[in-house]
Amino acid sequence: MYEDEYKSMKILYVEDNQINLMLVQRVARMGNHEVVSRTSGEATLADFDEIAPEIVLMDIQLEGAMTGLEAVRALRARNINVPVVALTAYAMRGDREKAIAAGCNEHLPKPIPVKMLLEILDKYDGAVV
Amino acid sequence: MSKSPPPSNGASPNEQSTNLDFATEVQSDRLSLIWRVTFWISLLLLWLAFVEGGTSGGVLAMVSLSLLAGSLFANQLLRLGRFKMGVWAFAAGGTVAACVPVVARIPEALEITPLVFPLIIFLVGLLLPPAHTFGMLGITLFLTLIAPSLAVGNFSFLGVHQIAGVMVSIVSALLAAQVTGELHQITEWALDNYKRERRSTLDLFEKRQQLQKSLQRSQVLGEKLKDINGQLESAKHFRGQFLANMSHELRTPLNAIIGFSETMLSYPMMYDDVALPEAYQRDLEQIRDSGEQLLAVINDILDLSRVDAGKLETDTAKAKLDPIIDSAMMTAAGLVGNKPIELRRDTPNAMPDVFVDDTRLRQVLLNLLSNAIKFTDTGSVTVRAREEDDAVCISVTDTGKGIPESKLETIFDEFSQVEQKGRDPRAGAGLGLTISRKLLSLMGGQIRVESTHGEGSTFYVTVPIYQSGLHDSALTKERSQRPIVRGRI
Repeated sequence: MYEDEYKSMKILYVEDNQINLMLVQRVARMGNHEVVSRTSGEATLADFDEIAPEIVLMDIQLEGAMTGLEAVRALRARNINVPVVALTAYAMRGDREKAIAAGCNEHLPKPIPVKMLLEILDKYDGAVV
Repeated sequence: MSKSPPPSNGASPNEQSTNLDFATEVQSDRLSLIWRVTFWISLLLLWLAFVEGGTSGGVLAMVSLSLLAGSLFANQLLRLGRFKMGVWAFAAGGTVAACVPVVARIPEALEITPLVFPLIIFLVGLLLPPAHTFGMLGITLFLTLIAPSLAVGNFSFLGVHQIAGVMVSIVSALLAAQVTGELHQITEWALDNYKRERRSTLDLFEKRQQLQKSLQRSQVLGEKLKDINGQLESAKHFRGQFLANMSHELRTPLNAIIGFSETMLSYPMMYDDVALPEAYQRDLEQIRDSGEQLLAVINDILDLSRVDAGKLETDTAKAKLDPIIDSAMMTAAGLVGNKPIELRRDTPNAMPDVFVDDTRLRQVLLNLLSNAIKFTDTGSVTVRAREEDDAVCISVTDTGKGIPESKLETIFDEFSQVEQKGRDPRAGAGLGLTISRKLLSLMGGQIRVESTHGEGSTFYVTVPIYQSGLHDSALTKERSQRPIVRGRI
């Protein structure tokens, strides 16, 4: 019955930790979303057009030289307006503002609050990109 | 000459040599001057004797030789340090010299000699104590009055010169005794002063040395202290860094623990709608709750490491107190669970705006409320608020087991749970109150506690009332530039 309520989205989750990926994959089953993952900013930028996600979940600390925020800036510079949700392990003051300034639409602290992630996915599901 | 014993403390190696008899020294100098003058005069007389020749020349030669002998003896004795003997040798030389003309039966001698004696008495009197002076007087009186008579064999022989000589001798002896007495008093006094001076100088010297030593010691200590401070700083920095790293590393596995237990408990549809057996659910709830507790501890540790690194910031602004208390109490209500605890609120309807970081004040109040609920098994937890001058005092009172008086001092210190042994399983890491105090001090507030062991505790939190003139300045402008994160993990 839930599959009918949620239209499925293609989620690109940029994250270098497999357990986090498993969790998001589990959560994504709620809306029958598809989760594609990349572990570095460089790979994300290279494969982005091919993947063509409808929403991006972006970790900040990644493999490779690029941070998540740098990757988001590069995407925005390419005029890509896909919603991006930043995920940060440090909930320091200023992290949210930095994420928003880099071009993220949302910011979630880690450990990922499942309920909030579901709400955000729900919010952007079906939104015109 | 009275010689005072040397001071017995013997603080300095110089002490012994400086303890010379000052008066003796002065008088030795005087004697050595006198004998020198006498020596040269007697040499002159000797030369005159050779020029003169004859009987009177011989007499003069004898006189000068007596004087010469007296002078040289005096010199020798002085060199040996026998001052008194030296004086007496000199006096003897003079006396013999004076007597030579009489013995030589020079007619004028009986008239002149008695008048020479007073001079000798006076010299002795100047150099030696009165006793010696009077001794000398006795000798000259004998020589003047009795010796001539003995020599002549005529006892009735007493000339005007002898009488005058005797009179002058007595006067000069008295005079000399008085002068010498005064000299002695003066020298004694000078010597005493000198010694006292010397002693206080030595004392001062000693004290200066001690001061120098303690100065050196304190310099060494100061450097050690600086060293230790440096080590402490780096240790603190290291600790802060370590705590930050640790909390980050702990967060990743917690992400899985909390995340998966949450999905399994709350979202069966993520698992193809396969419902968990009830026993599994109950245990899974334990996993999730424990994970969240662990997360809270990690957050506290992180906050504390920020405090140590000076990175814990508060964004103070004008704020309404009601919503802050509401929000904290609402969350606290969820913590009561099945316990028979009444959560009460007793605050005035109208409260002034306060100048705080609302998120942080809420954190503090929630911490106090959760402690109160945690340590109260039955009864009530009450939140009160009242105005106090330019502050608002918010209190949280519980009817729990209270805090022993001995622990009230340290309760705001890091990791200071009341019971360290056999700890209450309800206890956290004991960081909440430490952080609360630090947060409040950053906001210009305070926290204190009153407690009766066995009856309950009351924590008082004071925060400043918002004052438009005082708080509406640079601080609020800064706020718009400073990023703020409202949500806490």
